[in-house]
Amino acid sequence: MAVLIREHTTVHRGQGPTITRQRRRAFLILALPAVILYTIFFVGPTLASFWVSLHAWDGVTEMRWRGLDNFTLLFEDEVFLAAFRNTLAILLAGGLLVFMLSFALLLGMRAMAGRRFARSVVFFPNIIAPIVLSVLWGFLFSTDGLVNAALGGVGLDAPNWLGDHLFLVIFLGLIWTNTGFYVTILMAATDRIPRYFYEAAELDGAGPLQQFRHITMPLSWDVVSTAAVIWTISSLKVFDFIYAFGGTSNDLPPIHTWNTAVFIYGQTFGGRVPAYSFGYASASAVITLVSVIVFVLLLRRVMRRDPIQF
Amino acid sequence: MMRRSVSHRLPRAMVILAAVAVTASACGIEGTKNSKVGAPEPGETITYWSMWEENEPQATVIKEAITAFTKETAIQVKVEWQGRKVLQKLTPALRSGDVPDLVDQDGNSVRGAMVANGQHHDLSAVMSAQVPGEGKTVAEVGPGRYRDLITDSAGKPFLVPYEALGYGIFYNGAKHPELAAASPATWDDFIAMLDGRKAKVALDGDIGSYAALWTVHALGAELGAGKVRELAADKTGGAWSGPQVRPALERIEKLAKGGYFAPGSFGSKFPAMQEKWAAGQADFLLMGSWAPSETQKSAPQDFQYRALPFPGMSAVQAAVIGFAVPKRAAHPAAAERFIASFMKKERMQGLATVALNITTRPDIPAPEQLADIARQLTNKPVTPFYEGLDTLGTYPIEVFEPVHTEFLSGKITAAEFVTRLGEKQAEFWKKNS
Amino acid sequence: MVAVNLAVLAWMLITSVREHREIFATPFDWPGFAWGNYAEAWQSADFGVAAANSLILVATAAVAVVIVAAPAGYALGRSVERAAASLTLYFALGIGVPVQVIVIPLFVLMERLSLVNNLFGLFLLYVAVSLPFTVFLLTGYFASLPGELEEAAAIDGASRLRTFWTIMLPLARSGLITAFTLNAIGLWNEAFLALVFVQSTDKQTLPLALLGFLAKQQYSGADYGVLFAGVAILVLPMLLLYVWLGRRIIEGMTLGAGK
Repeated sequence: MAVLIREHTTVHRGQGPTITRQRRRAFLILALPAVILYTIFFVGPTLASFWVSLHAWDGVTEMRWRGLDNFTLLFEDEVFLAAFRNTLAILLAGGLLVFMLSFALLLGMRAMAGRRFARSVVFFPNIIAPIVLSVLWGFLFSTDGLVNAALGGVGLDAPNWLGDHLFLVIFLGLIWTNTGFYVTILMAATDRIPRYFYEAAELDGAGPLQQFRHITMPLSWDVVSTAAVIWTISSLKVFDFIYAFGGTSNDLPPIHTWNTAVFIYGQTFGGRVPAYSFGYASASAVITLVSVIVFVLLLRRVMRRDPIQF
Repeated sequence: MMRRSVSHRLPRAMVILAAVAVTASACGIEGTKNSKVGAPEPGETITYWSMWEENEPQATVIKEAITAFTKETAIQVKVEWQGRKVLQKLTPALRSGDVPDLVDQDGNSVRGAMVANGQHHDLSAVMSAQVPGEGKTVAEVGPGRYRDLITDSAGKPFLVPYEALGYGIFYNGAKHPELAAASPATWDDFIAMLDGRKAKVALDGDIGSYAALWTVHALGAELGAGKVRELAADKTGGAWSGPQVRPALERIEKLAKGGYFAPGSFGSKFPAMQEKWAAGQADFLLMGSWAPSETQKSAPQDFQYRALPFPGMSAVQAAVIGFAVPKRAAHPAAAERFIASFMKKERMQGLATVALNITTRPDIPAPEQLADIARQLTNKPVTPFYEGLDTLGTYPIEVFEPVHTEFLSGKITAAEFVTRLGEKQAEFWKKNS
Repeated sequence: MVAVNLAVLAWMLITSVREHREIFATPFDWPGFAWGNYAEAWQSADFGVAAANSLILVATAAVAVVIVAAPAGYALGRSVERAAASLTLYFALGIGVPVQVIVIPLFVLMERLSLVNNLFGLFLLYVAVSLPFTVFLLTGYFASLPGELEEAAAIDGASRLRTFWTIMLPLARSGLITAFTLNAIGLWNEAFLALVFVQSTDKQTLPLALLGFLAKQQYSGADYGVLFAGVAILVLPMLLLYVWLGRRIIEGMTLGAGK
């Protein structure tokens, strides 16, 4: 994501004022529809929810002013803090794993026959409904499930996955479903790299790892950093997959598996008798959003690097 | 099971249908005059958001009732078959004011979505209205029994229940035929019975509220109506260490550590364990009255659904499903009139015969597989499902269930349970005051 | 990983034609060819109308998102204006906002516009909530396209709008198709907004139908074979779309990049 990562190139410097004005007009015409739609139907309600976060509100009756009380409470709320820790675990540890896996797959599939097919298949978990995965996970990881049968087969202890390590199981599922998405994005980027770079490198005797380090990475850096930002932002919104572990369609999953998105749902519409605490939920969303801003700015600093035009 | 029961039930259903047809035509003459509730205009249209999906049997029954009602009163009913998430849709609508005239859902959900914010309509008038053609009031024909489950803080009813759900310890009557005549009366009898039969209890322990059923029932049996909720509502959390709580917790501790739960009860994913129970790999399942319909596809042909009352409990945990009217409904009088007319025996009967549920009218026989539960509901006082803990906001999921699952799965002792629960509870109420 | 994914797909399809009792007895086994599961799922969940609604809604919304987002992405990705950087951040932050939080204010807004329980209203919402991600994706995409052609066009005196339309858009084809596909898949599975904003059964979308179908099982008996058939009905169209367009992405790449 170039603009976030770098200041723009200097191609257009030195052009006359008329052209600048014309460019500005074109800029407006091009960007305006998206900006308007987004502002009315998305940013407006979001700002409204900032306002709501300063109140106690059940969504129906009048709001009661609470000032910053929601926020001070949240920072003492064990349930929220645990959810926030899980969110961070998904963001950082999950991100690391997803990207390592994606690059490994990219490398592995570069020379593979039938890679178009492989690419479609890798993406597949993204399409499938989380409910199927949660049912499958249930069969695989139950105490008498396939995983433990396999572990028992090689003489290892069979842990109680769903009882004692549920978050880990969900975490693995998340990595698995998301990797396909990032492989797809990264592959679209690396496919644009001209073949002759690799051919030349091969003539110079570079192995696949070296090619990856000296050609693939630098030439797709833009997209890699975009993907990193997308992961940062979207990992905070992971919801369906955790929610699907709630058992019946009425029940929420156990609180130790919650992330902030599930927390928000639990404080608003979720559960057998929903809590409808929109003020409190909005406050937790504001905290989440602020963390997004911090992380994106950090990433932007860390990953800033001049792109290479080719 | 399914196929067999249908073929069994079909002739009976036809007899009842014929009977219904006769009664319907018999009272059709005076049907229109009996409007004691409000003064709805003929030709009005009320909007009804239903918790059922259009192709569910309950919807079929309600549809027939609507047709008959419109014929009687010339009031049209426009139905949106919203399904179970009906109240989720209602919340934003309540804010904007464009609300339906009639909704239905279980009592506690309605309490959370409509009563907590004062958006419900007082249904006292319906409860005391005559059921058309029967010479009795709505409350008298059955719904009055469930008064404690359906009143707001001012004691006014916000719901007119048409279905009741009760809890029991389900088992296969074909496998344990002697139990029907000699059900264990006390907890010790119950444990002795389990020991004697080397029987296992199935539990989908991944669902915190299902696991909690055991302890909450045991506490309710020991302490009596309303007391468990008082323990939970104690701001300091200290109430749990009271001496009267200990016997019940010690019983559950023994159950937890005694290996009574079938293997996998705390290490699989719902509905794996109740499926195993239906398939005969476990003997007992403490569950609500939906257990038979949920498991019928897995149960063998000769499975007989029977249910024991919870040992030592003088009341029965129950929940109800019924109609409610939003405060800002445009046609409350017409909606009330529809509710009263639905309470007629002939209209509600289908809920038992077609939809296989227990109705709130004791004079409508319950379906065979729920007969034991229905008997409890008729003969014992009712106490709210989950002892009303689920009306304490997020208390069950945030406080009670996480600590409790550790306890029931044998990871912590009763004493540790009391300490931890007390701490968490104090924190929770500090945050939610 | 490829093998695991194929196994999961196969398992899902096999399970969708097995009988409920068998699934729980032996979760991993060969099919019993209970094709009736599909018929039952289709009927009992009203998938017919829902499928039509979903198809129209998702197709139009995913196209509309790309139509609105592509010019914005170009403007933001290839501009020297200082506004571009802050606008990009403005869009990027939207990706992090959970819908649950904005749903009540959003409902009030839609109510004022009389767009509740209205498929056009849902269409607008889908476009709006998909914009942040799509603009973000396409901004990055346009920024990474080679600049020579654009400069050449500028030297030839072509206007910005013209350059965008005739040169950059075709170049970005694979990016546009990627954006379309990802949005189509995301919206196809979207259930929460539909749940809140659609009230009539005849306007419901496929995920809503599936959700109702799941909830219904609590009272009228669960059948996991039928459940999986229902899920397969939801998943297979998207799988086909992806497989079909996945090829187009590569085609677009070779045509567009011209290298």
